[in-house]
Amino acid sequence: MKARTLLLGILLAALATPSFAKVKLVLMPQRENVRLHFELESGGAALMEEERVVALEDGVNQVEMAWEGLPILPQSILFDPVDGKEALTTLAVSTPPSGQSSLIWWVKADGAGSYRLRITYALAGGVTVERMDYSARANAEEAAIDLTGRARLYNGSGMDQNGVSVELGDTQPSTVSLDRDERRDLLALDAATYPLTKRYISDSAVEGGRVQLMYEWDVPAARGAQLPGKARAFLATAGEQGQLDTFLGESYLGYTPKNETCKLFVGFANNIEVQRELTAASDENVKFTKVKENSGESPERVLWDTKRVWKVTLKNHTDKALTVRVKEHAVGEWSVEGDIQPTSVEDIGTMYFDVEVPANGEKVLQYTVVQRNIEPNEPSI
Amino acid sequence: MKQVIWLFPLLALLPAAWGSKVELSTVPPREGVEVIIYRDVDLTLVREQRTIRFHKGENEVAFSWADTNIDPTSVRIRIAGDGAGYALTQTTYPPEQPNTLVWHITAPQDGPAPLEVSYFTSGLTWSASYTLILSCDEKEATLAADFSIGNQSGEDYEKANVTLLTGGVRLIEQVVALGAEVSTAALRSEAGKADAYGVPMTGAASARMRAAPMESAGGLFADGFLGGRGDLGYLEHEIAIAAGTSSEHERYTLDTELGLLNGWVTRLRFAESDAAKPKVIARQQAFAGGAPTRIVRVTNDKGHGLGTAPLPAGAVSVFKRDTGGRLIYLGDSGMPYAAVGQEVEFPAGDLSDIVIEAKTVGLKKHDFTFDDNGRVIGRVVEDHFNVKIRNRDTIERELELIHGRPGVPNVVVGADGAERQAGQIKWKFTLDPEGQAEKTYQFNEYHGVAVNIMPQEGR
Repeated sequence: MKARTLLLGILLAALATPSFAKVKLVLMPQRENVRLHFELESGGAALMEEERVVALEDGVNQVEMAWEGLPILPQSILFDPVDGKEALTTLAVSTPPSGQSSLIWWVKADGAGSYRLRITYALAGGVTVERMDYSARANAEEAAIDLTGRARLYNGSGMDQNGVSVELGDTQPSTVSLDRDERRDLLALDAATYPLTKRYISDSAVEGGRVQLMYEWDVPAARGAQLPGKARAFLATAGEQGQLDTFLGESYLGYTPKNETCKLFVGFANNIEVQRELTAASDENVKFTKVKENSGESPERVLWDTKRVWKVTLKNHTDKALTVRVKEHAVGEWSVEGDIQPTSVEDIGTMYFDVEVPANGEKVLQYTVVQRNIEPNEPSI
Repeated sequence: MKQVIWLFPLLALLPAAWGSKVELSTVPPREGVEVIIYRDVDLTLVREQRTIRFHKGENEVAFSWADTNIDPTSVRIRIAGDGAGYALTQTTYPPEQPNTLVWHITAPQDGPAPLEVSYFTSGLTWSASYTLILSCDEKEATLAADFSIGNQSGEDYEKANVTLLTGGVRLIEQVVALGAEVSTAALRSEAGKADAYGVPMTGAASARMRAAPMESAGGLFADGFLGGRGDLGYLEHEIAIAAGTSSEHERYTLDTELGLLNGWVTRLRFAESDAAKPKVIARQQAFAGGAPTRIVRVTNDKGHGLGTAPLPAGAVSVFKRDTGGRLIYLGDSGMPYAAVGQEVEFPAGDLSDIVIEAKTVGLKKHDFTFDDNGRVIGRVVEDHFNVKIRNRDTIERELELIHGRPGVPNVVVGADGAERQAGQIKWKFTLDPEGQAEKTYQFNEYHGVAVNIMPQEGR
């Protein structure tokens, strides 16, 4: 494989040099203060920033940058003198014939000397965050969780990346060296401990009798937004040989802004049973089309109401009383009738009943829902 | 005796088969060249100035365009100045010399005369691009406008006076097709039709067309650019670009001669403002899901450090400075044309720290109307909505939240403060850091004959 290179060359082109005269590559300075920023919030391209100290002649210099093989977005390249700004003027930028990933800045220096230049560009690949993995470790009481996040960097840029200051979103920068084609995990979140809410959710219309186990925590402002990635949940468990971790399950965490609640779908609670059954169903206030006598036609329903009575039985086989959030669904124009009302209504299709189930006990939720003004071809409960 | 003078718009040499019946003179150097590059079509008007020594009587001036994209139907010659006494008597196309024409010019006396040769070519292009760097709070910004000029015409134009044009140009044939790319058969099929100027092509014009196609001689700069082929001329200072208007075209003229070498692209700074002060808002369709879009509004006027000329449409790279002043790349976008004084906007990434929870929380139907057969022919449907917004960003944000049911006659209830237009509403929120907002409202839709009971108020 042909080695990719990122080089900065200085082509000195004195003004007196005739057009088309050969110019000489006189210097290839090392890059310094290399910074790589990943804006993971929007999933955009990475930004690379580097500085080079170059010796410029008095007058017009050609500063060449070449990046064969690197997926630099040429439009994004910025050239910015760090010091001596007042002495440097960028006259033009030229790009050689297609097939050569390079450009030349025409820089006029008011005085010969060494100048520190900063070059910034976006990368559409090359050095990437391949994945983000979280380890979410709940304590034995499941009242707190330690969250550790690691980002896996991959250097597919074709060149070694040494001493690069890597920033993942708003996280503190880490200095990383990555050889060509090397992968390396970067600690993005170091065992942050958050108060944990453990929630049981029964969505029997979707999951049947299984009860979802959710871990929820608020992302504290001091930590900044939580980046998206896969999370594996563990439970700290006491064992004969000390503390063991029990793997509970894994799920994907989306981008979560600070002060928002992060929800991790851990798995299913095996010690809780849910049975859901329809105990009564009737249609009311039915309106039909008008049919002439002896026409042989049958009247069609055009408008009606539907009443359903649902019974949800919850059995807790643990030694602790717990609350199960029962998620029920409805459609159209509906309401719940009677004394048993939902704890909260999420939206037009979803309501929740929080049901406390005693230890090793059972609780029955029975509610009546009415859907009104149903027309043909409309969904009904 | 007739004198044949060769003009070469390129460095490629013609074969020596022109014949022994004529006498060749030395190639007169190009004394000046002006290129007018159109942005919206692949067309460039080139005007070259050369001085030719004529002999009294009839002269033949040969012009060749092999290995270029020159449109042979567009080549014109003119004696500069008053041209008194000079006459172009005819134009001929040597049968054994493709891509060549000969002008027969009668001169009143011996001596030099300035000559202007003009033609269309393709492959010279230009575009605008922008770099926007937002401040940390996104209330300030620097905006740089650059023009990039590319040359894939097959010809070098050293020390060219360059004018860049925007604006619509109607072409019925593409210059690139009239140049090197068109096949002989295709050209023959065009014989007898109108040429690029709407003039029927007969006689000489058809003869010119039959000379195609031209063969490529390969790249002129195969030896790479490190040999110093990238010279732009004698750059000593920044090139200023003056803007003006010609008819319906915007003209941007470089104040310094520029070397336009084949295969190269040159980017020049056109305008720059460190007081762009953009208006940055968030915009989202209430029920679209996902994060709101960052919308950047830029005004091209002097109050924002701009306003000296229209800004052509072009790509824009958007950056932002973090609290430490370091750059964050937000992505690329496209900036539309901005006339002087005009505010334009473009998207620039997502704003995931603005959380929008939009829900349909209720539905009610009423006012049913039935026809004689008992079928429903009209109803009013109330859709009830609730929107909660939380700004988790560290800076104040303005949010435009749009919700609408275009196409369904409706009345919005409870949307006080929202703009209403064509069946949709637009909320505008100003949210402090950690600020929140909530709105509850409803759309009353009048279906079927129920539209007859729809109140005018609140539509």
